[in-house]
Amino acid sequence: MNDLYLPALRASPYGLQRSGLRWMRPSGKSVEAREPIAACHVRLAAPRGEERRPPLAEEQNDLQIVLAPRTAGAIEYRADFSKGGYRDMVGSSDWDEGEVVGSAVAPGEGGELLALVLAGRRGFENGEGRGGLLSGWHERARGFWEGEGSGRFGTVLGLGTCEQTGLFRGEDMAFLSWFARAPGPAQIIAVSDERCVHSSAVVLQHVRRTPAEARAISEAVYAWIGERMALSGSGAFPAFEADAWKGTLRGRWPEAQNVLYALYMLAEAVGTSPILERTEVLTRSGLVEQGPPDAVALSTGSEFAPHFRHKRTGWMIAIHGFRFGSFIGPGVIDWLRRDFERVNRTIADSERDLTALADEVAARTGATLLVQNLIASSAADRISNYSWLGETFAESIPVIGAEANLMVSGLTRHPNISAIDSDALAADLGVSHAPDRVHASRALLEAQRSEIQRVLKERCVPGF
Amino acid sequence: MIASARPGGSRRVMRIFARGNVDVRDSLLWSKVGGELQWNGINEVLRVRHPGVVAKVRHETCARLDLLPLPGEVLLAPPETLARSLPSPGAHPIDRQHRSALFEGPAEIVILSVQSFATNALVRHKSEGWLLLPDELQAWDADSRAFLQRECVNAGLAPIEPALRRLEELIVAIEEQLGAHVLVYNLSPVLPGDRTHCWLGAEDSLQLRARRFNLGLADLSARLGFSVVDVERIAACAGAERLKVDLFHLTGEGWRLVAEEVVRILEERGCFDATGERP
Repeated sequence: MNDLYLPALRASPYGLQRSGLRWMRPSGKSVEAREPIAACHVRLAAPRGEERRPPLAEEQNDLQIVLAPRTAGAIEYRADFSKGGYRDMVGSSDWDEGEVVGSAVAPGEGGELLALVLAGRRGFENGEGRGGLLSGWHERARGFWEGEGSGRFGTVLGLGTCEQTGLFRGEDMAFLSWFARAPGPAQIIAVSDERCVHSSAVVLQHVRRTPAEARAISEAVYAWIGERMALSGSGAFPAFEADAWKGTLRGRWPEAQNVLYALYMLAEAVGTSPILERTEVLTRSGLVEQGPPDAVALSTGSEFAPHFRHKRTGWMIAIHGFRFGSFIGPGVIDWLRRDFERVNRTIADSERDLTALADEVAARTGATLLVQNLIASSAADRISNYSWLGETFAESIPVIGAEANLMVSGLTRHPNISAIDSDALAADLGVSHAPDRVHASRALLEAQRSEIQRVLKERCVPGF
Repeated sequence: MIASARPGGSRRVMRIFARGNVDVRDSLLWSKVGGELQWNGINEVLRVRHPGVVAKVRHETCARLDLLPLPGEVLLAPPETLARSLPSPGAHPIDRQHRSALFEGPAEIVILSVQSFATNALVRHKSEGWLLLPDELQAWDADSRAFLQRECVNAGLAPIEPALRRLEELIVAIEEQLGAHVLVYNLSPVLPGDRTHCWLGAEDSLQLRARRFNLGLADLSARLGFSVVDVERIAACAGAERLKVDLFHLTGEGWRLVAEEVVRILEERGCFDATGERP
């Protein structure tokens, strides 16, 4: 039996406190190398008298550590490390590096566990949703691990559509698939597209935004919210109407969805672009600041989401068509109709903006853009005679998909753009692995991860 | 009439003229690997789905579709004596590259493929201007290779726009002259094992050319109304890893799926209706 112990993780001068360990595998069972066996929540404890902004300040409320053995084998652990209940969700004891938490059954195994650190930045700090790994609503989630390596962390930012949520966060939503495959030091950051889709047009405008433009957008949103408040007449607060006196099904303030959606869009538009954002990571030797991402993954599908430009400020937003309705609120739809103009983006527009974004990113951070192309083939589109499509030919999904993918291939002439050929990967395995062209099976996601990892290695991004 | 009654027989004969290479031949006629039959052609499908119909396939290989003369057109071609004297060890005899029986006889269905346009590079005679495909060049004798080097220059792959214009002229001519249904195979661009992420310097790679030709073919179909046999989609749906051997070759199962798609398209076009008239 060989001891398994907590790895060194330092945040000096801050202390590191952890919750009880939540065991993820039954004691005595065999696990693979880097297969998580336990997780806990952690927080940084400021030294007495420290008044500066603490590191990881925006992620303090959802900071977790996942532990995994370096080698495969049967693991036994001490059950008393789990306190159960809420004790496994709040930091209460010091992180004690070297503390023995279990043992490896086979000789020659065991030793220091590897740590995957998860950090979720909530869309709203009070939006608490602890329980699982990175559970709750996070406008940015990241996982980083030093692994057995040392030095600079290679960082990849996933800025694409939900296909990249599966690709980067994985079905566990906690980056475990990448932790298992990339040696480290590595970091993956995922910014989801539930609110605003990150097309090249949206991202490029965000990167180039000036303080004056940010102020103008803020004023436009505040003015609209003011209008909404002024318009709210009788019946605006159903919770307090007479018929609610003995109980009502109408729980939420109806205006909440409109206002919160608008505020979220504003917060994203006037916050730092994730392309430029630096990060802090916990390491064996302490907290280390990392530069902006080395690679930024985008989805070609983002380019063709509905785009809207605010008439007065020029603010560009993109929202998935399926989000219209209850996801954004009827008031916002009215606002889009009145104060925004619909922007019909062509493939040429997308090509122009992606090229400009690549130039901008190259000049500022040197990052590579990984553009994931569209899965153009589908079992559903069995078109043999295209003349039967008539006027709709040019807008048909197979045609747009094929044209967009050719455009993406052409873009790779740019020195810092690589194509992730999802179309070819899906065709290799069979498009039944992504029957709706977007949401991929586990096998296809693994193939996509392998491809991205290969490209990152070729691009000399460290840690992958 | 699409199908004609066979004298003395009960099954109708569907006359198919096919000009293409491995994709057309292996799906419609047969596919053999190492002498072993992998797929026995379109009649295997018809036997089950349309037992009263048998396809009679007349097949020509295709050095490149722009070497196929239109009715009344005389293409520049190597002199007959030269064409016979140069080696032709492969599937494209030089003396037949510029000839076709396409417009000579009746055919209810004509099947073509963009493969030759997408992938076959030709040479051009320096002074006379004719084109040819030097097939299986490694098997040519030294004198013939020296002749080629001395007298010809590389004419390269077919530029896409002129190729598609030529295909348009050909399809229009087929429909006018033969009144036949035209089906054109596209090409699956997936090359098993290939993982290109940066196409810098590879703009004219076969995979990208296949994608461009497929898109152009769809556009042409939208304008002219012929049918595309979407080999790209067939391979993608079943999984190219399982179905494709290389850029051109499918497994027996793959060829069966392509033949089934041909029959499905013919059904959609009404070729098995009682009258067999074109819609």
